[in-house]
Amino acid sequence: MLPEPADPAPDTAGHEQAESLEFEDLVRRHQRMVFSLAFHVLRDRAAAEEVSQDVFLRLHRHLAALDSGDGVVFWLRRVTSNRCIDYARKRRFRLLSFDSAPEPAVDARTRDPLLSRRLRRLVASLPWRSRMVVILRYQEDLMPEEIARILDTPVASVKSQLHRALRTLREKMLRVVGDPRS
Amino acid sequence: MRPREQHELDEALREAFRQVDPPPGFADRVVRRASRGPVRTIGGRAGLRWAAAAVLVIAVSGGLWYRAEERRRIEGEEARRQVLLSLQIAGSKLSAVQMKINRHEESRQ
Repeated sequence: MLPEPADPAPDTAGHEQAESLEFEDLVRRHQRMVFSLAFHVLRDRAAAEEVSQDVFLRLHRHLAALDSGDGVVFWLRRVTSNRCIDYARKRRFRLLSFDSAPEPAVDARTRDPLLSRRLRRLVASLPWRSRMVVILRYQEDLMPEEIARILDTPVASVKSQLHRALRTLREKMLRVVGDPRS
Repeated sequence: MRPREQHELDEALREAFRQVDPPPGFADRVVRRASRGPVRTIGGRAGLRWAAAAVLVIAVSGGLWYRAEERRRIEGEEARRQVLLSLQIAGSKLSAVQMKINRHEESRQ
């Protein structure tokens, strides 16, 4: 929380400057998280940038009402998730074909880039809400209870969506690469 | 699913959905847009679209109303003209009959 200004006139400018610096710091600190969520859900860099910019501009307008780091992260995850689903629905956003869909640059830490790519494509074939649940679970490493709070959904519904999504992914993976036990 | 398989799938998904870097200059663009004051967001653009649609609806209904009024005015003028013509014809016929009666009475005298 910023300190209360003693003298209203000069401190208002100081407060605005501090708020602007605080905003810039928040953008730099959370841009990767917000952009990644949007990119993994929408699988389009331009759409992900548009949604991410919109999320941060909304944050700028609501900054005064958010007073803790945890509150900001929760707010960013919730607003990004909602904006992604809205964006996809309003624009009747369709997935790009598997061959033309952009892939993030191969990370040196990725052990099996081909497997990662296949999994991203399979997750992209899930319904929007299930996709959101899977991405929040694995990108952000969140528990079903936290995902339920973000998506404003009952925990049981998140658990069942996650369970169904993982079963579908597992079955599709087996169809693509074959059963490793056989 | 066995715990080991579940663990492997969990790890593979964590790797597939690792955070990625935003495009270069992303934060600068956001800060610049925010410093410009109120901005048109995705929702704002939708609002603009609704306003444009409302203006279009008002313009089209105004145009239709004007055309209907104009048609009513022309029809009214046409009806008035026809009534005046009918009166003129009736008046001339009455005059002709009156003249015939006058002539007939003069010949009897």
